[in-house]
Amino acid sequence: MNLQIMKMLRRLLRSDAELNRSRGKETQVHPALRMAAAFLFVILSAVSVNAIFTIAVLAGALLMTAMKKAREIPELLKAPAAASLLSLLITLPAVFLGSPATMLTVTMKVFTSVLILALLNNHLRWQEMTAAFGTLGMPQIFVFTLDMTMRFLVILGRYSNEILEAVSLRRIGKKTWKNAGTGGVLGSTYLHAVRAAEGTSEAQTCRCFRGEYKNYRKYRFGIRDAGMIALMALVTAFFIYTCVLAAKAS
Amino acid sequence: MIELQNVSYGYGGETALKDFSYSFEKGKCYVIQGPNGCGKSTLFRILNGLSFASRGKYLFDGEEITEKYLRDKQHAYDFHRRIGFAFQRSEIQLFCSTVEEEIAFGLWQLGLSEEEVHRRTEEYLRQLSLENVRYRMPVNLSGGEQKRCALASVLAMEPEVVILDEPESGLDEDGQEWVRKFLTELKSPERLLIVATHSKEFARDLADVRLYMNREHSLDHAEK
Amino acid sequence: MHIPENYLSPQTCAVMTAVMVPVWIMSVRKVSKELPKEKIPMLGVGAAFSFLGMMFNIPLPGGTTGHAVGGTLISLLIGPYASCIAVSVALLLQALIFGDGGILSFGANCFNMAFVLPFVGYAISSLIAKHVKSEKGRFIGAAVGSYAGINAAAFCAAVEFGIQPMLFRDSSGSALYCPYGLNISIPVMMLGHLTLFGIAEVVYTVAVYAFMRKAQPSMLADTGIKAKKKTSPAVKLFLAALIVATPLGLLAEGTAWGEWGADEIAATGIGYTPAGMLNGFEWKTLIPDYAVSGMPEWIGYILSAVIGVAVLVIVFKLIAGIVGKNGADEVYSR
Repeated sequence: MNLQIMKMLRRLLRSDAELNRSRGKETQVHPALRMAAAFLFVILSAVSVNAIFTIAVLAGALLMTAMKKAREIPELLKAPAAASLLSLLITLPAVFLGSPATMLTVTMKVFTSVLILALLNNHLRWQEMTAAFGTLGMPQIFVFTLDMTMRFLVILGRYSNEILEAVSLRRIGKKTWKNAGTGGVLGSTYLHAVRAAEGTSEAQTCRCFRGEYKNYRKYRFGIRDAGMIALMALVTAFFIYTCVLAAKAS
Repeated sequence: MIELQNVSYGYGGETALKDFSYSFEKGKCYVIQGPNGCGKSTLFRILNGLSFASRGKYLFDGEEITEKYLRDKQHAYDFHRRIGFAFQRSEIQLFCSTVEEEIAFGLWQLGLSEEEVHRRTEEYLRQLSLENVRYRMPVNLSGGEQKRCALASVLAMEPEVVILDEPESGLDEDGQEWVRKFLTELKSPERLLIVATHSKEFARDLADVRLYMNREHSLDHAEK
Repeated sequence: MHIPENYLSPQTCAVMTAVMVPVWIMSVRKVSKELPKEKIPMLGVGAAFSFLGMMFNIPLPGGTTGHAVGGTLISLLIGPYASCIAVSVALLLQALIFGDGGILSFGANCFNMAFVLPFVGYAISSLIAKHVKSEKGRFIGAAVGSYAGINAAAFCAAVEFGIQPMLFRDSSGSALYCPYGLNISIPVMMLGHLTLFGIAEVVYTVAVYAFMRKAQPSMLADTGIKAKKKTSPAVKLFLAALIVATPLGLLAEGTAWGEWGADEIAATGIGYTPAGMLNGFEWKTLIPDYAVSGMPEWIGYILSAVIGVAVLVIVFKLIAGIVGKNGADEVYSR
């Protein structure tokens, strides 16, 4: 039980520490740009009429995956695999109806899209993603709310984990969701959540909060950003080319 | 500078603070001690304008601080600008996504220019040895780092009054040593420091005046 | 040398697969026991080299083409058992995704290219290296070993082809599967492989072997150097260069002997299409023959190369994760 909470916390903490180390390099591509690129690729490959485009995007995504550290790959592939399996099952009737290509194409598109998103998730830290949302036009208040949610997840995760440990220590015999006094744990955690929320609001008041949220870091546009934009343009051009080809063929 | 006249606070039939009267002067460091539950935290909340006295008066630089008074946005803003408060549990107080944003947060709220915000943030990152964790989420830091981060975020706003609720709690020996030294250096004729602590050494080293509270939730006596 | 679908009778396929099963089991056992965990992702790189090598088609005058396999190369890099696994995985990828080599004939293809080739190649090159103890000895061993390996494999393939018309005929006497008997299959296969394709294999093997010795000697099985954590950029660049160069394999027109499609075989001289091929098993692949309809062939080729290499690297990194679970987290990197 607390294992699941621990796993989630560990993921958060690890990505936090790792990115702290690498953050010194300002040459990284702006997270908003990465995010925009990812969404672009996903949408284009989903809409693409020509299989070649999706295959090209898939090739790129697989290449990126192949370059990740060996221990990250299983985690990276879990979501795409699950999604593709689901899609395979759903589109299976297409084989019997005489159109197996449909099943392959749909599954491939699903796999590609989810893989791209998994790669994005793997690469960006939560804060970067929410900040990217902000840059892409989301009102700052939503960004802040997302960040706060994350923060509370961490705090409450820790708190409930401690309680669960205490329960485990006191309990004799097998611990299941039923007999661990889950009601009490949840209630306790909820109270803690309420108090924490109040505390945050008070802390904000004490620091003269007036309703505005601002970003400390201003990103400078670099070569890598230009490269990313160029890539996006290239991919879009390729997409248009494949559409034209398909139109000509039909 | 700060004057409390017969301040009492109670809720639901329970008294948390009884008849507290005292005058705090600028330039001094006051250490408040007392058993758990004596009302220290309630006192601080009142001082910070987070709670309001059921009876009695709270005068800040001559101005009476009441709920009605603080409802005015400008009053609230001016008031909170001049008082900095570090909670006992730092975790609650830290709500930004990185340490440097945490420090910069208050500065943005003060309406300072971008250069000033950056300058002060860098300075306090340095002063409180937070440079190597500046990109991390404050919630993920160790106890000592969180404490320093909270302190930095409050001090960067350079308030006239600094109120600290048990600054040494949750820290190891080195951490406590560090806080003690830091607070000693913080004392200045322009500043009013109010610190609550359980540590006798802290009180001894820091205090110009020591205030003792008792189990009856009132001020027992003061020592110079 | 890939044997396509329906060239071998199901019985032959079953026999070949049955023979391969113990080989695979033993290879897996040996590798998980002996190969240091750090080298397992290198298996992926090795498989990638083999995969790419098989995409470079070389024309033979007369209209057929062939290609190098690289099995001996891999066994020189990480041992014959590992090579068996690597080549098998590459062949599996080719069969499933690209339709190069049949599904049913997978066992036979593995037997030829993942068993006979690497082991013969390894045995001979080790023998030579033992007797000619010098740097040169290793290279001579690599050359001779790979030559012997590919020809041994070709011979086996020829035999597998050739016995079909003898054993499997329909009532009218025409062959059900491969219609060319031993008297044709052996000379034709051997001619190609003893000459051009054998040379291609030798060149590929020696060139990459020399390159690896210089760029990342830690990858080689025979040097005692401890495996480096990352694949050197030189190797990555080399792989990239190979990927980009794969369209050259398209220049060779014509189909390899024994790899004709069901529509092509009648024209090769036999005059009819064996029934087994007309009605046989068919597997729908994603990117058949490394080409995607509507696009210039070279794009499909390069994409296939990229996908093939990426998948192989991923697969072996995953395997490394499963096999090497006891290792420290940071051990294997790119």
